[in-house]
Amino acid sequence: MSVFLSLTRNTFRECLREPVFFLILASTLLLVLSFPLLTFFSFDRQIWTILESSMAAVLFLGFAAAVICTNTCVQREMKNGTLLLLLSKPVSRFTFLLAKVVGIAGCMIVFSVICCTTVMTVILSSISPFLFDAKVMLIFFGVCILCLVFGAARNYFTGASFTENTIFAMLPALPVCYGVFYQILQSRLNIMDPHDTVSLTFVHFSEQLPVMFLLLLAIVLMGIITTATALHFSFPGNLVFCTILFLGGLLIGPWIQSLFGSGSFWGGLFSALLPNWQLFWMAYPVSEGTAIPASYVGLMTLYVIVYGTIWVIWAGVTFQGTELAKDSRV
Amino acid sequence: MIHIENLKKKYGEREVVSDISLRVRTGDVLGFIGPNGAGKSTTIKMVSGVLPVYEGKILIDGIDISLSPRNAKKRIGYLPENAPLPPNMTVRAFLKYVAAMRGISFFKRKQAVLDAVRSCALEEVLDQEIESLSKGYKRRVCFAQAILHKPPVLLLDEPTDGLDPNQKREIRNLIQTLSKDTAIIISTHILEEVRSVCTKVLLLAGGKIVFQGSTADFTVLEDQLKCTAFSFPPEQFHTAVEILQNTFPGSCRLDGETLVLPDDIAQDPALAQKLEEAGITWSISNDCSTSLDDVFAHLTRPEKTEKTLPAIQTTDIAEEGENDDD
Repeated sequence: MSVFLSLTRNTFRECLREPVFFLILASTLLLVLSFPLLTFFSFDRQIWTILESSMAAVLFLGFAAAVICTNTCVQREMKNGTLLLLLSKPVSRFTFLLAKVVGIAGCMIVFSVICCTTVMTVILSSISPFLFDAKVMLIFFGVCILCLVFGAARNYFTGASFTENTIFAMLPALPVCYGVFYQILQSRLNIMDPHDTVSLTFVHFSEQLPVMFLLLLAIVLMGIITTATALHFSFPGNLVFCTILFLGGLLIGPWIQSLFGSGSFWGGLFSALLPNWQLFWMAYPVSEGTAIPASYVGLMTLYVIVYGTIWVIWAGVTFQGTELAKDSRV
Repeated sequence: MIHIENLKKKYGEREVVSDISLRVRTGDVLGFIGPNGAGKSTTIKMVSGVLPVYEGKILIDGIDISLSPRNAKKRIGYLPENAPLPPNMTVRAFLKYVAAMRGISFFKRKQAVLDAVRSCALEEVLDQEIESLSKGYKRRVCFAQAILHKPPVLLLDEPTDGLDPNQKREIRNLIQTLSKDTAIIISTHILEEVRSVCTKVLLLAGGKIVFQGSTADFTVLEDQLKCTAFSFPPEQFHTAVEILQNTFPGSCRLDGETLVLPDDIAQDPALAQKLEEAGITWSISNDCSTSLDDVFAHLTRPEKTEKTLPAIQTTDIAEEGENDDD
C-alpha cells in the first residue's frame, strides 16, 4: 500500500510541478476572470452567458491540462527510461497504472476546484445585467496575485517548486475568498430594500455546487481516459486520439438523438459509449434557478466510476503485454 | 545467486537473445561483454524483470522471476543504461522515493538513504536537483538507488559509461567492495573494466554466447591469438587500409605504420587477391603484440557467431556453477 501511495503522491506532485500545466491553469483563470465583462453584452441572460462561457473554457482547457499531465507523468517516463527504473522495483504494472490514474485524477480535481471556485466567484460578482461587482473581482484577482507571490517567495528562499507552491496556496485561498464574498453579498442582499433587489441576481451556493461538481467529474474522467490511452500512444498520438474522443463526446448527443429519436434505449446506450459531455453540462438549469436533483448527480458519479473503471481495466490488461524497452530493438 | 537457463528473446521474427545459460554466485562479478546490439541490455532487462521472459528460466535466489516477479525484484538492484532519472527531484527526495518503492519502512528510510549516499559519495549534492548534476554524479545517484536496499543481486548496465578516469576508478572500487556479498552482472564494452573488476566473462555476439569462462581464461586468449602485421609503401598505405577494412570489417587494427590482422584472415587467399588486384605491394611480420581488443574483434566477427571456435576452449559458466553448488 505504501508503494502505491508513494507512486500516487509522486505523480500528483510531478503534475503540479509541470510548468505547462500551471500555464494552462493560469490561462483558464485569466479567461474566466475576464468573463464578467460579458455582462455588458448579455442583457438579462448574464448568468447563463457567463456560466456557459466559463464552463466551456474550464472543460476545454481541463482537457488540455489532462493531456499535458499524462505526457509528463506517463509518456515522458516511458521515453526517458525512468519507467524501466521504476518497474525494476517490486511494483506491478497494474499498481503503476492505478497510481498514475489516481495521481492524475487528483491533479485534475485540484485544477477543477480552483477553476470552479473562480467560476462561482465570477457568477457571484455578476449581480445584474450591465453591471458586475468590480470590487469582488479585484480582490479575487489580488488573492491570485498573492498566491503567485507566495510561490515565488518559496521558490526564491527555499528552492521549492514555484508552480506547486502557488497551486497549493490557491487551493485553500480561493475557496475561502469565495466563502467570504458569498457571506458578504448574501447579507447585503438580505438587508436591501425588497423593491431594489428586483434587478439583482444572486445564485446560491447550493444551486451552483452540483453544476460545478458535474464539471469536476467530466474533467476527472478526461484525466482517467488520457492516462489509460497514454500507455499506448506517443504524445501527439494521444493528443489526436483524445481530441477525437473529446469532440465526439461533445457531438454524440444531438447526433444520436437525430438517429434514434429522443428517449430511445439504443440511443441512450450508444451515447454512453463515448463520454457524453452534454450530460455534465448543466449551465441552463442554474441560469433558470432550477435545482439539479441529487439523484442525477449520484447517477453521473456512478457513470464516471463505471466508465473510468472500464478504461483502467482495458489499460491494465493491454499494458501487461506492452513492450517497454523498445530501445533494445536493434 | 542468478541462474539463467536457455534464455531466449525474439522481436518479431528476429531472435536477439539465443539460448543463454549461466550461473552467477555471491562473490562473482560477471562481465557481460559484446558489441552494440549483441543482446546484453535485453538480457539484463529480462533478468531485472523489466522485460518479460520469452523462453527459458531466470532464477534469482531460487525464485523464478516469471512466476514471482515481485519477490524476485526485491532481491535485485538494477542500474539501467544511461542512468535515467527524474530531472526535477532532488537527490534526497529521489532516494527516499526509491526507498519507499522498495518497501523500506518509513523509520529505516533515512538510514538506508544515508548509507547509499555515503557509499556513492553523494553528500555534497544531496539537496541539489538531479537536472543540475554532472553526468558522473547522475550515474552515482543511479548507482545509489540500485544499492539502497542492499540487494544480494546487482545488475549494472554500463556502469562507468561516460565517466572520467577518476570516477571510473571510484565506481570500480565500489563494485569490488560490494562483490564480497553480492552476485553482480556488469554489462559493458570496456574490456579494461572486465580485467579490473570481473571474475567471469561472458561474450555475446548476435545474441549468442561466443565465449564464457573466467577472466583469467579470457585474458589468456591475448597470448593464444596470433596476429600478423602488414606493412605497405607509404603512398599505398591509405588505399590498402581502405581495401582491407572494407573486405574484413572490424578485424583490422592500425598500429602506427602497420595494419594488424588475425592470422586466419592474414592467410585468407582473398586478402592477397584483393591487394594484388589493386597493385599494392606489402611485407608481413609476425612480431606483433595482441590486445584484448583483438580478442574481442576476433570473437565477435559475424562469421564467428555461426561457427565453433577451434582455437579457443571455453568453460560453460552454467555447468561450472552447477558443479560448484552441488
